[in-house]
Amino acid sequence: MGKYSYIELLVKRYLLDELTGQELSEFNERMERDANFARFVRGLEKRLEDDVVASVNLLDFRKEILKLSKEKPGYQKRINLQFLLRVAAVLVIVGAPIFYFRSIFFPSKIDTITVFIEQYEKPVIGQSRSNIESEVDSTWIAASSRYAENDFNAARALFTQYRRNKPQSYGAQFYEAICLLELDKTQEAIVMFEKVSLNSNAFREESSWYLALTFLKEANKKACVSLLKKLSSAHGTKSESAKGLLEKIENKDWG
Amino acid sequence: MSGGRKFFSKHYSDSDLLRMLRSGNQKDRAIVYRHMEKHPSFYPAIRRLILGQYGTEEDAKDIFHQVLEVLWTNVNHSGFELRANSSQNKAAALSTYMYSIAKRLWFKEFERMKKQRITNLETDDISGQEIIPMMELYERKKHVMELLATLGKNCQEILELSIVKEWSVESIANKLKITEQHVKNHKVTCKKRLKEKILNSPMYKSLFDEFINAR
Repeated sequence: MGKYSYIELLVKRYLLDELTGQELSEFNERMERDANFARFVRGLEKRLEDDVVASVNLLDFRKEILKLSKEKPGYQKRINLQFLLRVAAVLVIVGAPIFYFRSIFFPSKIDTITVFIEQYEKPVIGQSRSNIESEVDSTWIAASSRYAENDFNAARALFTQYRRNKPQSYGAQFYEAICLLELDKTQEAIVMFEKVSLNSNAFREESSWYLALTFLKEANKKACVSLLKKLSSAHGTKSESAKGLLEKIENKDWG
Repeated sequence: MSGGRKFFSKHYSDSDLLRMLRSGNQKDRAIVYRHMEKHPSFYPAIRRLILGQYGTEEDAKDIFHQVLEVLWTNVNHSGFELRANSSQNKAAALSTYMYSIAKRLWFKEFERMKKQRITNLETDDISGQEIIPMMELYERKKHVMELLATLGKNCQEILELSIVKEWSVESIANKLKITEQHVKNHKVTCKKRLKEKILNSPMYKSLFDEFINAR
């Protein structure tokens, strides 16, 4: 019993990183000596890591389906089938032609937003910008190169690496936020754009502009319009673009 | 955007649904949920089963959600796919799997509530041999998830943002309005506390016993 408890305790303390230096070296020696023991510990270690990740993922999935369920109850009430069929028939007869012609003359909300966003391309890292950030920095050059090749995963990692040495680099934060936007991590992009646009730096205005576009992508009209109004009244380089986009948004039935 | 467009499509094959469920994209999963919620072979069939077996609307929804969790767990962790049955030479429909899982989950719940044993489970196209391992894997992951749920909201949020959403330490710190060092410390502590709980669970105890007895 004592022996069993000792092995169990020892393995648990190893898996929880609680062994002292001396204990750890003895444990590692034991693993080298005893192949069965090593296999058991490695297997347990992997299973534990898998279980941690799986538990977090499953909890997230549960929250997601609960949220979906609350957004639209569906099938909560018994509906008279005959009544439903009559309504459906009327809707098909009257609605189909309207829907068909409407889709030709008026693009849907999704089409409208897509058209807006597709008009604007990712910003290019120019020579002047790289001079602001760094004259000859290999990480910056590698990040710029991956970014130009649209390899946003690699570019993002390199911009993060660059910022470890230069935490105040607004340029790196700005381009990293663009990468996040391209990788569809809009919530993270919003946090980063906001940080750049709230401080005085060369990327402030452009960051506000892309933040507005991100809000547009998220269909957050209120936040987008508010930012565009600020940009258009600031008389900066993005003033005209902001006015143009504001007009487009106001003229569309978006909302 | 593409997810939004797909929402208006009328038909998804079983492999489309499994692929979208596995994708990790929230929009795709929302499409799967909405599709299954409406399509007569999925939720409406499960709902009929539960209501016909003394369950309520709430029970039906709860069982449907659990079935989705079983399916999601198996799709992600055991690489579940619809396989052709050797005797019939064609794969059973996804809805048939889900219906069989729902039946087992409901009967188990019913037994728990009424303390009554139900034995007529082998009446589906899917045999227990296929369903039981799926349920066992889910039960194991669900048990670990319940341990995570005891950790408190802060720990859950930090682990969720770092593991599921793969946010950087900096982004998490900005969102939670705490320092990056605080995030790092919290992440390590929370992970350790969860590991501790998992290691002390009966599930792991039996693994230790098995190993020790075999020596």
